[in-house]
Amino acid sequence: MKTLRKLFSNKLAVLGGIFILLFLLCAIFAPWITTYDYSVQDLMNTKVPPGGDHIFGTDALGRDVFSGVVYGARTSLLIGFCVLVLGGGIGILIGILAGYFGGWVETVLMRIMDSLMAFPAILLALIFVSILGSGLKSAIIAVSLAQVPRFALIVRSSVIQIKSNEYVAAAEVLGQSQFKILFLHILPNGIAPIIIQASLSFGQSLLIVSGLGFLGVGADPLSAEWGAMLSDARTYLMTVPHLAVYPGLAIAITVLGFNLLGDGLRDALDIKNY
Amino acid sequence: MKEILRVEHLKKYFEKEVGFLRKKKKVYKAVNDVSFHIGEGETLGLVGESGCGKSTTGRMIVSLLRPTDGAIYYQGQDISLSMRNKDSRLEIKRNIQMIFQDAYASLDPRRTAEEAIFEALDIHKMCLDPQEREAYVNKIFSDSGLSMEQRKRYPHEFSGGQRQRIGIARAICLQPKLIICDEPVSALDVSVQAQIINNLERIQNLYGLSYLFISHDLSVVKHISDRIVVMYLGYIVEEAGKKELFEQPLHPYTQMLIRATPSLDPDVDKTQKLTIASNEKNSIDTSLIDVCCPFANRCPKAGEKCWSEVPKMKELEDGRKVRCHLY
Repeated sequence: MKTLRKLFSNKLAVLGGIFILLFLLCAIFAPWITTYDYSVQDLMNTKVPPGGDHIFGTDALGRDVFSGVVYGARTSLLIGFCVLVLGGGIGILIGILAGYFGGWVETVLMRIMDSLMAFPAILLALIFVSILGSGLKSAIIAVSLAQVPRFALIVRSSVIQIKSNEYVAAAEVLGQSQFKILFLHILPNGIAPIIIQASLSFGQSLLIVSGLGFLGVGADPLSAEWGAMLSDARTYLMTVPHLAVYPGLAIAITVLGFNLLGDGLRDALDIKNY
Repeated sequence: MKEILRVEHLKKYFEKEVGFLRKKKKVYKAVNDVSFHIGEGETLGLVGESGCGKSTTGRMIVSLLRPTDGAIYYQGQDISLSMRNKDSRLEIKRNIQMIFQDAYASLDPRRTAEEAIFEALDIHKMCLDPQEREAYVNKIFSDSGLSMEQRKRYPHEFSGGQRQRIGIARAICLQPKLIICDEPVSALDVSVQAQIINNLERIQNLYGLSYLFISHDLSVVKHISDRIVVMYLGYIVEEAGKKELFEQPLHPYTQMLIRATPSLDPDVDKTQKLTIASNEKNSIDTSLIDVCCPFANRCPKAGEKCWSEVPKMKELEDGRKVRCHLY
């Protein structure tokens, strides 16, 4: 409860929360918000300026930009969620194992993480796309994989730091099992950096998938995806700028929202800050 | 008096790899030869200066560290054997508890005072009935000198003395037989020290506990202990009853320690204090371990034998034990 109250007293975090809420609402209620189907082309009405029937105008194929942006939230949510579950989950597990057990377990796991870190996320994604074929699925797998070492590094270092605390020794003296010490004492006390990393990763993964879409290897052209929309808009940047503005704003606002909320959560979760 | 804990020839070496290209193992000998026993309801004081291996000894007894050599017997059974089986391990853990020096660090910052107690009770499946548990936790809290309103508070909301009371509550809630007190009052100011010490004594009578009281503060140890062992560089150098030790210290190190205790008595010989001061130029030297008497470089009475032979623990005619070539 205290954590929530603290979170709500942080104006920037609330702003971030509003952005995310907006994003979630778009994703959930997309069919009711929009009046046009983004996959339907209307070649009679291409590059219509914003206003009137099409609030955000239409693109070069006559598709409604507003529908694209709203449905794009669904794609983005899917990407972010999958990356957090897949990349975050695996990364946290690896980090915990490496940090808590140390020794050769740590050496092996962390060297694998190092070699993954050696590749930029976008390059890793391109490799995966060329192996698995282009599409949203391979983009998501690639981006998740790229996030694994980031989580693993952060979790490992905080586990190492926390396990030297006297309260871990105290739990051991009480007879607590190693497994429970990990999940009752070490993980809860290391949750703050994980949350920050999660908020950063969410934003980053949106950017990378958008980047892949921009390169033309992300989501398939028919589905609404902000990066792909931005990429299509590039050709007409000088003549019809609104095509690039709306998906660009959507990406910026969503990523900003997650970063602000993550920052606020970190402060709110600091137990000594009440 | 029935014996509750016996420690025999305990050793603990820490190894560390040093060097970058040519890796060498450096060995730190923290505990070299420690033997003692604690009787039921007894308080054994363990004194020595910083780095002499007091805490390491305590941590080996609660199985936080594994001894390099030697054995620890709880009520006659070897602890290292009991640790292999889950049930007997829990049994040992329940009976030997510990109070830590830094109470704040020993409490999980995310758990309230009562949650710390609940955790202990949950592990050992004690007081599973909610009503019974409620009453029991209240009793433990009042025994430790805490009030009911403080149950739901977090460690950072307490003062230093109160945190140590939570540490005490957590240690006694399992109804152990022996508590290792690892410098429980060293981090507290003097008025609070007295409260905690008195509380520990009251609890000892109430629960029939034995204490191993580790401290570097002679006046505190003098107050609480029945018997005292003195440690120097990982060796026990002297063991005696409280009265004998303070009235007639045998080992030169013990003599030095007692003389170094601040005194309000103006008649205390100042010249004696001066000789210690000049001696303090020679600080502890770990290279003497296993070579000769570890105290030889600081000892005013060190002779040829002290520099060539490691002294053994000797039992004198009157039952006192000392590790020194002079006796």
